[in-house]
Amino acid sequence: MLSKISLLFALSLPFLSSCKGLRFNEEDSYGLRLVTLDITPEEYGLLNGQLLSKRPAQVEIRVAGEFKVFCSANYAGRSSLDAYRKSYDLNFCEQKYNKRSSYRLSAQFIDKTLARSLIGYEIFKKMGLEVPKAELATAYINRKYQGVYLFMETVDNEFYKSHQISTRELYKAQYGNASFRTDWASRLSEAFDYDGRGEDNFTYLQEIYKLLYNEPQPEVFAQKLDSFFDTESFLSYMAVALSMNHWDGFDNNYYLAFDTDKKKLITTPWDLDRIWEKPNEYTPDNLLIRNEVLARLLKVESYHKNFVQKVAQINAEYPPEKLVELVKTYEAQAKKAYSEDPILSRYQATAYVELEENIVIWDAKVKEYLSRNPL
Amino acid sequence: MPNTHALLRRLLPFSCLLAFSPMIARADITSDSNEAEDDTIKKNQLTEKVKLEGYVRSMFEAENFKDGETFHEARLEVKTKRRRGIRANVELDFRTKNDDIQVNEALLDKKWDSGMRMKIGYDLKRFGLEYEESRLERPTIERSYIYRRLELFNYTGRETVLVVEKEGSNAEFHDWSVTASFSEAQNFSLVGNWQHDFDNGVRYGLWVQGGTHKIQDDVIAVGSIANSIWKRDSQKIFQAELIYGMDPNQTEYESVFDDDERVYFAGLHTLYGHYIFNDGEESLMGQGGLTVVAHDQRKTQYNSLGGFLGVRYDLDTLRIALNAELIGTNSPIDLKKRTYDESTLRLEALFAF
Repeated sequence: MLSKISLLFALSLPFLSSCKGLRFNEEDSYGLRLVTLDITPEEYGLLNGQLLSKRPAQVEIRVAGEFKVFCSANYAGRSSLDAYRKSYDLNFCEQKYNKRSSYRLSAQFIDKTLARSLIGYEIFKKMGLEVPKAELATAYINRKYQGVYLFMETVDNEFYKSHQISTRELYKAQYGNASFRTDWASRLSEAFDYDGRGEDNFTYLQEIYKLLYNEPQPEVFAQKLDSFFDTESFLSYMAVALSMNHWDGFDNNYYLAFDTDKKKLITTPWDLDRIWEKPNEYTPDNLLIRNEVLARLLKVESYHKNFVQKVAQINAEYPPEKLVELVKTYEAQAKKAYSEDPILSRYQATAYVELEENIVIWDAKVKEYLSRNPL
Repeated sequence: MPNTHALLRRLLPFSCLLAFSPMIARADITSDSNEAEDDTIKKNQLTEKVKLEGYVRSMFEAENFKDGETFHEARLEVKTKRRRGIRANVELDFRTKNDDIQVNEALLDKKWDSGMRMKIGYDLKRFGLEYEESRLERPTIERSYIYRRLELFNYTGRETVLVVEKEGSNAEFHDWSVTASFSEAQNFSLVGNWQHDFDNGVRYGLWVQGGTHKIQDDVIAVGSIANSIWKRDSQKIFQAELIYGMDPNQTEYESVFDDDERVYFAGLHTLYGHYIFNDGEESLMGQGGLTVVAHDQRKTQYNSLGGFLGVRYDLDTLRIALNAELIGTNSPIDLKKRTYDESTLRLEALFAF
């Protein structure tokens, strides 16, 4: 009997002496924000097995060794869901990191430099727009190095709350359908994802449509639109988008949120991994016709002037030399982590050079646009 | 106050379990009052309609033997009584680790007099011995390392399944089964299983799986084979498994970034358990095992070598087990950090009802 009691006591010892310690050290982070996920194989299987429905898996999340939570993660994105290198939405349950209960670990599927978003958000912020906080991070899953990612805020109601903006309705431009063309007037849910209170409420967007197609006078259109739509924020957004060839951001990848203090829809940028992509395929002029609201506003001289001024300001404050310098800064910051990235390392020789070349090509096109539209 | 709140949240799943506890009350509960008799009749009616099984367990887990945590789980399985050979099964897990409830199984199960059986619904895709067995039947706390690879490859896991099987003479196992299953990662798979009893009490099982798997910009055909041989008696247990097939994850990597070659894996797992004493109700068993997983042998990457030591004490439906698993794996990618270990120490106390 005594031996059985001793056995039970010995087996119980680990219960009584659980120790806590972080398994990662500074070297593992390569000087970047360290984000680690621990997922049991069974939960990992479920995560993969229900890929398209983005079912959350139970995950232990650690950030920089200082924040630890057992909550959930799910695959994020739409086109990148099919990609080998996937993005994750990390949920912190009731805990907060940087005042947020969720963060995105973004693979930036298209952008092999991971610098595009960082530079892009900096310029949007400079022009007075609210932008998600984003930083380079090294990611590990079950102690296996996944590579360099962006660790960033997502844009949702909590985002605006943490940025001290009180919002009600929130619309995400999606599927490249948010151009305000007539095709989507009766199918708004296919152009915008609603994230507000209760049932889908597209009232504000329907109002924009009504004005666009019932109000032929551009000046009257702009005046009426301005009563519930922050045209200043919208023009700033579009000016930055034009300045960096954010071709995927005119009818896609932006948010409209109803600011309850301003009582207007404000514009917020999102998903910048394609900026400065394909500079030979696009021109400023063919970007400007990708959004009907922008095209209509630019028919009003004062708005056109305001828009061109913003483009000129961005071009002056962020000349190609400065942008290339920023690229080099982020390249240096990520260099060590990047060179050991299982996927990105193969693009190290070409990705940054290509981005720098694209910046220069696009700058020439913006300068040509500005020369045709003198202030 | 926040601690009290957290404690209450942790206890919530168990309170749900307690709420169900009257259902499992024995039918011989008697009372002098008519009200109590009515209650007893209702309980009888309920227990005639459904059968409740499950367990509660506490776990301590220390990865790399240095980072430990304790958590608790309760499993509740509800089975309706068969009518015209049909019954419904629902299996729920209540877990304190993240204060959630997970549906493990939701099935319709039809049985014919001929011994044929069909199951349809959400369930484990059973591939290999350790997926065929339940947690209560398995000698170790967790499935062996090779099965964890299979979960990552989606050869096993919870999916929408349609199973047709022929029951065997041994109530625990079937003679053969065919499973069609669907998941968003794999699209579709078909698993065939055949089992055979040899005269000396040794049983052999063969599982063959073929299916499709989504990869970046493509869909590939994948397949895997599991051979398991095992024997269990009152003196000792033994099992050996050889599992091989295509690794869809590394094949995707090769397809997208390299030479488009298929990558294969093969794993061997053995387990031996010897009863130090076993009187039928109470037993103590020592266990030992080895696992080898070879992977993409051309590049000698992502290969694992593991050892297992365990001790398990059983008293009726109470089980206390300590498992130590030492596993070393070299990196699946050509990095400085070429090796890492996935060793774990686990202690479990489980009570089944």
